[in-house]
Amino acid sequence: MASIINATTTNGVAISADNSGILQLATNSGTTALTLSVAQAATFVSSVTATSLTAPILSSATTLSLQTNGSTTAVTIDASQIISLANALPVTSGGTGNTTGATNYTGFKNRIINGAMVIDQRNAGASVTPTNNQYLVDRFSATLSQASKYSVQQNAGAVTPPIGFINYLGVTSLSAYSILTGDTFSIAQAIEGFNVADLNWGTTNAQTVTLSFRVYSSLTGTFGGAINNTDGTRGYPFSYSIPVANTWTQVSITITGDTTGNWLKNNGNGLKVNYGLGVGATGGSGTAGSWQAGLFVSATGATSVVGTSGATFYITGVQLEKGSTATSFDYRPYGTELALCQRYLPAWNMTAVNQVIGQGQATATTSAAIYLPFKVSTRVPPTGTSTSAASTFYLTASGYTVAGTVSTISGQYYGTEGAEIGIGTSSGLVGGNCTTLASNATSSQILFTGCEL
Amino acid sequence: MMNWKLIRNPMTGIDDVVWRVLDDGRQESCLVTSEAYLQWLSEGNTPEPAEVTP
Repeated sequence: MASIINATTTNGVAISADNSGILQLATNSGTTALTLSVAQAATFVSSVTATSLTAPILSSATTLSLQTNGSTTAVTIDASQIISLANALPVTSGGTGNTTGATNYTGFKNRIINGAMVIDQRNAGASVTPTNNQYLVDRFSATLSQASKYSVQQNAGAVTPPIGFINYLGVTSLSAYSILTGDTFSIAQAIEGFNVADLNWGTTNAQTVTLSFRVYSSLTGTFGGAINNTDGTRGYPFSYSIPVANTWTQVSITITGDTTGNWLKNNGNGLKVNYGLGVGATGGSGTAGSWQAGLFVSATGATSVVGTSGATFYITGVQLEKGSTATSFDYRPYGTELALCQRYLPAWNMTAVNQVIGQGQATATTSAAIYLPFKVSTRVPPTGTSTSAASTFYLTASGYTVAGTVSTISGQYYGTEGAEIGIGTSSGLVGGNCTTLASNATSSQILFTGCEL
Repeated sequence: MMNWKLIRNPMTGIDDVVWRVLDDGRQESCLVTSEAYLQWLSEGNTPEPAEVTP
């Protein structure tokens, strides 16, 4: 029972009273709208509209929920004041696009290194017509079954990169080549197993990943790529559309983690992301959208870039991240990205003459050994060197004078922390003395090869 | 491009490195155990001998 103040539709306000201590307000001739309990708790039968609320705004003994669309909970605040969102806070709202707790989006979010194509230690922006397995901008390599079908250059064609980027990797077709069934033309990045171990691929706890990138082509249509494992026994072909020519298109592909197969979790090839440029039926094309046994680099029916002379294919902002949503590109400091690259390519790129590269000891009047410590521990010890011409270097003799003319540069001892190179020169050294290797040109370059995946 | 040429390690006396000059003047070297060099050998090629210092 309750004392009731009732707004009738015939006799105005009617009041009935009792001793319950409960008060009700009723409208429409007896329909209860509000009940005030003996403890002053208010219960509204219908919705409450207010132009403002003052603190305490809302209170709840345990959990507070905000609901929309009938009674679907959107936000929950628990008794410890911890907020949970039912759905992701979008990137456009300052969020990450990921549901709270679903992914570790801090730290090494993007497993691709040099996804913005900024670092080009080998070629410094010069165009190359790659041979099979040749490296391009850092961490990206070319695969090709026929020579001289495409060239690759950082910022080829000098188009305006997509907003937020200053570089891209540009592929240009050098002919109108009709691919054969066994042909493969692609670019790819292999990711070290340590950097994808947490994906747990090859187990029942395999994590979903999302691959995103910006792509630009003179061609339109369906293009293809694939992710595959180290021994080429598992692959996931994917396809994507470029609907408008010569316009940057943002692509996002979500891939459920593979629960079977051999996925390395050490310093070997953990997984490889491939972009097809023209792949034949037996060259690595497969039906898009599912994990399959075998080696794949593209999707069946994908456009062949090498099939059109002068066709272009530009790509940047490549990101592979854990989770089912593509989030904003993971911009890392330049120095960090360079260091990440040097784990796979220790390099000395000198920018002026007379810059010291390293010091060592003359082993005879015409030879010296120079030790070069690496700035970053390499994935594996290098197995070779690639240097600019001998004339771009010199050794010092007594009194810091130039010791003859350098003729040969070759690696001798390799480790993950550094390497020793042997230098041959025409004259001027004294065996046992210290000597310095320095740059004799602005293009002096020493690369240690064999650390890449 | 010149042939690979063996380089004798002055400390061990072993020819464990090969070296060559490319057409543009760049130089390359690699261990005799490296995959690319072994592939080159398997194609029937032979490196230049190392220079032996008396």
